[in-house]
Amino acid sequence: MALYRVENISFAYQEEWVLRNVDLEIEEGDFVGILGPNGSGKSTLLKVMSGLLQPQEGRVSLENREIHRIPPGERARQIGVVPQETYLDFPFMLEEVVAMGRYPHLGWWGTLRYRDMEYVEEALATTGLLELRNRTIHQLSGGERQRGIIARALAQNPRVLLLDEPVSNLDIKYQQGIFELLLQLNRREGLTIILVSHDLNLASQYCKNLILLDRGRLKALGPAEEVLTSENIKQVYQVEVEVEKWSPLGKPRINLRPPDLEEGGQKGIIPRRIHVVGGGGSSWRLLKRLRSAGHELSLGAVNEGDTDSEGARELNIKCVREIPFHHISDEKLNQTLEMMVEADLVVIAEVPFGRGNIGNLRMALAALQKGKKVFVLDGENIANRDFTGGDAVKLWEEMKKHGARTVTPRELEQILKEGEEDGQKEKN
Amino acid sequence: MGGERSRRWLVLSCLVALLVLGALLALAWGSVNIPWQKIPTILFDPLTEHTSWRTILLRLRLPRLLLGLLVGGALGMAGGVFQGLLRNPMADPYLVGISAGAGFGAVMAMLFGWNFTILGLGSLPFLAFSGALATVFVVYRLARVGGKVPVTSFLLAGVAIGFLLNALMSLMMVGMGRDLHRVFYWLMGTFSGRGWNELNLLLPYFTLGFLLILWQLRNLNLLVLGEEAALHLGVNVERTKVILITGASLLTASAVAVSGLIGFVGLIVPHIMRLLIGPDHRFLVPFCGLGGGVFLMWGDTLARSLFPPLEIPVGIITALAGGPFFLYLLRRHQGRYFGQGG
Repeated sequence: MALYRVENISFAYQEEWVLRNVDLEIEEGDFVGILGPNGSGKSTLLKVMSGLLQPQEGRVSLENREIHRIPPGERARQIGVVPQETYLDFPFMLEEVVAMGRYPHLGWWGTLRYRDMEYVEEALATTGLLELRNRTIHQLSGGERQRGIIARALAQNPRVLLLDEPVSNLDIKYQQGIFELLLQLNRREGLTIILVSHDLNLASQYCKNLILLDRGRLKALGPAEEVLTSENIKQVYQVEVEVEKWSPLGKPRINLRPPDLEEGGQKGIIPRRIHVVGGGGSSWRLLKRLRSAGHELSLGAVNEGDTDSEGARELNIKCVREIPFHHISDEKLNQTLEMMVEADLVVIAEVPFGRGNIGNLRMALAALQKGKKVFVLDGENIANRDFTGGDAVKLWEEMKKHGARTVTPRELEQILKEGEEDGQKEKN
Repeated sequence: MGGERSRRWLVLSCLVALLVLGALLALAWGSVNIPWQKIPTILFDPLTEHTSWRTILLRLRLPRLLLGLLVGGALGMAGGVFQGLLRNPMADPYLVGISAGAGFGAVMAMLFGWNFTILGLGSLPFLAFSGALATVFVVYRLARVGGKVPVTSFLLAGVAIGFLLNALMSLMMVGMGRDLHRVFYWLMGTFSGRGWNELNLLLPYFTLGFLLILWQLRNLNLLVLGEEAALHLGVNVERTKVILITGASLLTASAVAVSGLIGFVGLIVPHIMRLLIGPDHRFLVPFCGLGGGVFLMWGDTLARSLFPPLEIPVGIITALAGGPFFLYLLRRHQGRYFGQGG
């Protein structure tokens, strides 16, 4: 059974709906990020879930009990909330502030017992604030104060922790610190965490599930791979992004694409049609760089499911694809050659060549013979990537005779920028 | 935390010492000086030979001393509560329209020369008391939006109603002529001529208000963090606010009814106490009560013995003594009070 159930809620502060028909469930032990542009209702959703605001329609329940029917004291033993604003007017000491988290567990006068002090100690230790306990709240930095408020919520010993943009004003060191802390709490203590974030990449990296809101409505819900697609982000945020599905962290990573690239490239670069021979992830970076410089690209031939094949799909690049684990057929090779001929030039990435894909090199030779310019990244060391017993090296030697050049990525960029290769200057 | 506790004990000891010393001085000093060594025997021995001294002590000085303590205590606590509740260090018990309401009632009583007794109350204290409470009630209702009373609108409604009532009060004063100095004295606040009657009047409301506040002190501590935070920590915010406002208003209104508008106690005593023992309202508010009482008791003793037989309104003394002392504390404790920036 779901811990949190948000059933078809709608909420308006005055006349306009801020949340509309939002319906979702959150399981115990989840780590959920609520995302969306400014004004999409993220914080409002969090406030409705914490019981601070009451929705006009629908209901929010925690373990089947409607959140508003739970008396405030009991609610505070279940839900800890870290608000966005953490400023305090009165000069309380950090330890006093954290100890206030124990209040829902205390009697009328609020006397702290030994057990309560243990919770306070632990909360201070977990957030790394033991040494600052006797400072007043005004003597702390923004990050320390933020951690102090998290410590207060931890001292409440809640089952659910709700946080509204917990890192919005912090530098990246503290951002990481706080997210790592939350991750630990989630993993070790099984604490359910729900947070609002503006940072898509941090949320992607740390959260198990994401909720994407678009003008008060639920746009997408699920793991980062499903929610953070370039289409979703374009629709919701109205920006063009590239989504790296396999960042080194194993989670999607969002890169902004500068708007001027959409209009046809950076200054000094003449957009061209370039065919790339890749495979096995060898051309992913190259494709992205060429794409952001404004060139029109094609790729192939590669096997379906190959890293570069997926990358091309993500970047919307034309691609010749062969069935997985098959040698590239003559039919596909012919298509590849056609693309090479249509292109202004051909670039061969640092692909390992085997029996399956050696055909690509033959096609490149054919293209050379038809007068295409071919650049080979690190061509001189092709022997290291030759798993065909010398065929690739031979083809390379042959290609050199027909004018193929070995280049470094840097040289390639330079060539493309200056239009150094023949034919291009006149053409443009 | 241990440091806080020993600090509280130290401050408490000082306050008690000041209380005892001040009480002795208040009983001994005056137009007739009574040797302080004899005061206990005179007070506790009905068959004493000093019958006239005993009369002065029991009929005049003792009730006045107690009145000063209670009024000061009421104003101090109400000030502490309002500053915490409104999260505004400039708040004092009079801010939310209480003074204007009480003044309005009192001036009406004096202007129209009404003279009646209700429930043992004279017309002036009765009108001042009910004027004060009625004003707070109206302000509270005006500030209410959808079952909630945001502190900002409470504050603003209080200030607006206060201006309105003050204007009406001034209008009435224009037509008063001879009685103007009475009004003026009353507005400055004084204990002159007050005794057991006023004390009896004050005591029940004082007790009720004190108990209401005591009940909610722990929650006040959380309200200081902001209403959202308090709610998340399990406080029934609106209920707590109503109880605290009722309690603090009862304290203030009853104090004003018996002694007029004594200023500065409710503003400055909470600040002084916060500087001395920190912002934990569970201790702060009771300390404000004790501190306010001691402060006003000393103030009244000075008020009536500086230029005998003339009595200065005690509000002038509290302002003259409290202001500079407060500034001194402020400069010494800036670090703790305002954070690093000072």
